[in-house]
Amino acid sequence: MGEKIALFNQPLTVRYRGVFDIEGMYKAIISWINEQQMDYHETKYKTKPVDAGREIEIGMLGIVELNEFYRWTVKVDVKVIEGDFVDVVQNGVNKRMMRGRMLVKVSGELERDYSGILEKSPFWKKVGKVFFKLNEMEEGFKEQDTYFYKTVDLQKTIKQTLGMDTAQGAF
Amino acid sequence: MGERLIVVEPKNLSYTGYFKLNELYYIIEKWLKEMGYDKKEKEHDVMVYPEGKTIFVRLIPDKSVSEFIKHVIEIKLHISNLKDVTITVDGKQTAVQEGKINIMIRAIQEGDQENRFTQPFWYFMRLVIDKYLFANFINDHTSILKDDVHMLYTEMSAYLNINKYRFK
Repeated sequence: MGEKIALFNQPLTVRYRGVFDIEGMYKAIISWINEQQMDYHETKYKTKPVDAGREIEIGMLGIVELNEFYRWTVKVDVKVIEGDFVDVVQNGVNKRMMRGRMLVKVSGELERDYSGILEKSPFWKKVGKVFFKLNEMEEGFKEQDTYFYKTVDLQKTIKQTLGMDTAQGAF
Repeated sequence: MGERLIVVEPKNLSYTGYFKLNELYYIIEKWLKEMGYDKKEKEHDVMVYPEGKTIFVRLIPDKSVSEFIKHVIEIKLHISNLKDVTITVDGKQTAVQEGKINIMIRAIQEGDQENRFTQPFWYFMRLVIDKYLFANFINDHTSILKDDVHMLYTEMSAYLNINKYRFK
């Protein structure tokens, strides 16, 4: 397995307290991952009723192989505490939503040489080192920049689903 | 990591009244995009209360101006008691928001962003070179960063229409 380049120093976070459509957000994230031609994996789905409400933890992962040497991974962690299902009338339609506190963390990374082609021997490791250095010499290494903004777009999608005022952006 | 120089101390902007949050956020993002900053939204908290929404946004956009220098602007938006209201503007009903907004901006110049000069001898050499050879170059970029922050501050205060009060 190769070296990983984190697209962000810290994950992008979205916190929301109020009434939100968790099912809609869940579907929107999966839909976004599928639109990016990524393979979707659900690493965790945990729901636990406690005295203060319901605790939900969801771990989502999207992986796509860009070429023989680079792989892009997006990870979304959703955590809901004090969750309680409520029936809400939205635009004249009855809808089941959730009231509580939610934290969403979005992170992304690029992995070099994910299949280990250039790790067969010390010679190939050196070749790999030179190859990646030449490939990434361009300032703001193009692929990192592209996938950085694509991952930011996922955060924007989540904000749009939650109906946040700052969902529209210039990027 | 190299040195972090606070170029612009925290500048605050407060406003209570009518505004459109999505437009204000769009203005900030558009400015960042035009000036070549990478948008990094570290935190975005929204809390809905009966008296209105409380929103906290923290942006830390940065721009690499050379192999060694990086400009970082920290923007914090704190909006409280945000409510959707309808007002009449020029005879037309317009949907806006009412609330209190506090904006803090500050700017930091980071050196040695790629951590090439971490060993003591090279760290000393870099300090000497920065002080005696590259002083003008660094000062020029410090001025550019100050101008950038001033421009952003002016854009936001112009949108909120705060600039109409001036000393004569």
